[in-house]
Amino acid sequence: MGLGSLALLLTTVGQSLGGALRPTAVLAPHGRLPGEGADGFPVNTTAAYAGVTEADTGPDWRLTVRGEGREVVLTRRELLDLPQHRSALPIACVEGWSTRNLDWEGVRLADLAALVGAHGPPGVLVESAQTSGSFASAALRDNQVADPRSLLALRVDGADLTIDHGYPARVIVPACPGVHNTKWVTRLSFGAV
Amino acid sequence: MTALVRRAYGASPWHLLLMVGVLALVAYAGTRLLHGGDPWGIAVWFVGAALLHDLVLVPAYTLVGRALRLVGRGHLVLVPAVASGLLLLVYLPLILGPSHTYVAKTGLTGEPFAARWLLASAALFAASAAVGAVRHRRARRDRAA
Repeated sequence: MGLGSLALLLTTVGQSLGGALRPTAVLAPHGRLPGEGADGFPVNTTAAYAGVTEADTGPDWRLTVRGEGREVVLTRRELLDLPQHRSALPIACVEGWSTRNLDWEGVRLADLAALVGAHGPPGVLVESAQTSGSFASAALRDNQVADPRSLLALRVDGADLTIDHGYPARVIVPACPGVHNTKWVTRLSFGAV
Repeated sequence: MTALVRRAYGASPWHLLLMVGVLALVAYAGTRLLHGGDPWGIAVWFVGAALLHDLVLVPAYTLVGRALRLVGRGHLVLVPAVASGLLLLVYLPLILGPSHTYVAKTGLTGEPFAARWLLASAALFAASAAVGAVRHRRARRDRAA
């Protein structure tokens, strides 16, 4: 029993230790990187599988932000014109894989809450353009929204998000299961949870 | 007290404590699963896993262990074989070739797992062979001395 536990530990622990030991996790799920640059880390679900099309994420994409009786609709360009912040956070999936710290860039969730007068800030209901899969929406708590590292990310590792990683915009929050970091975000409802 | 528990239960109190803890954990996990519905499916898996373990796996690895001990140097084969077999069992779906769902959902081919499992197994047996060689040489030197 101990031997078996040790064998499983040694073939997967590299991803948890990180650094130079990361490639030693030879049997961790999603063991190979899908591409390079902004695509150089795995996804739980591709856009195609989630039912997200080019039309959902093209120039007609809009982000609706709702707060205390106020609603603001933003284009991606308008989001990029808001103050941009950086956050070094990994994706850690409940499937049993994780990434290194990635260099996310985008708008703080707290700033978006302030934009619609949701002070505190309260929790937020995040909704996605995805039509299939179990996590088309996710609720984040007030402390997750308030954390300065929590972003609505627009870019990663110095490049725009790719469609599989949630282009035009995705949530990234510290210490949160990967699936709660909603991709292809279309609506943020502050105080709706 | 210890002797009393041992007489009534058949093993040390620590064993009893561990078993109660493990069963509590399993019960907790089971109740969490019930939220997903299908209580019969859960019962079949719980009871089925226990039966499969006790009726098939325990006799199988007892027999294999006995057979290897008859041949001698059993642990040198058994240890890497068990580790390799367990890795095979855990990663079987990926090693046999990923499902269509895996490919569609992850955008990955799932292709490196079979080769990586073979390499991990080869490394385990090689390490075991190295240990065997060292032991063999040491035994010969001791005999010569």
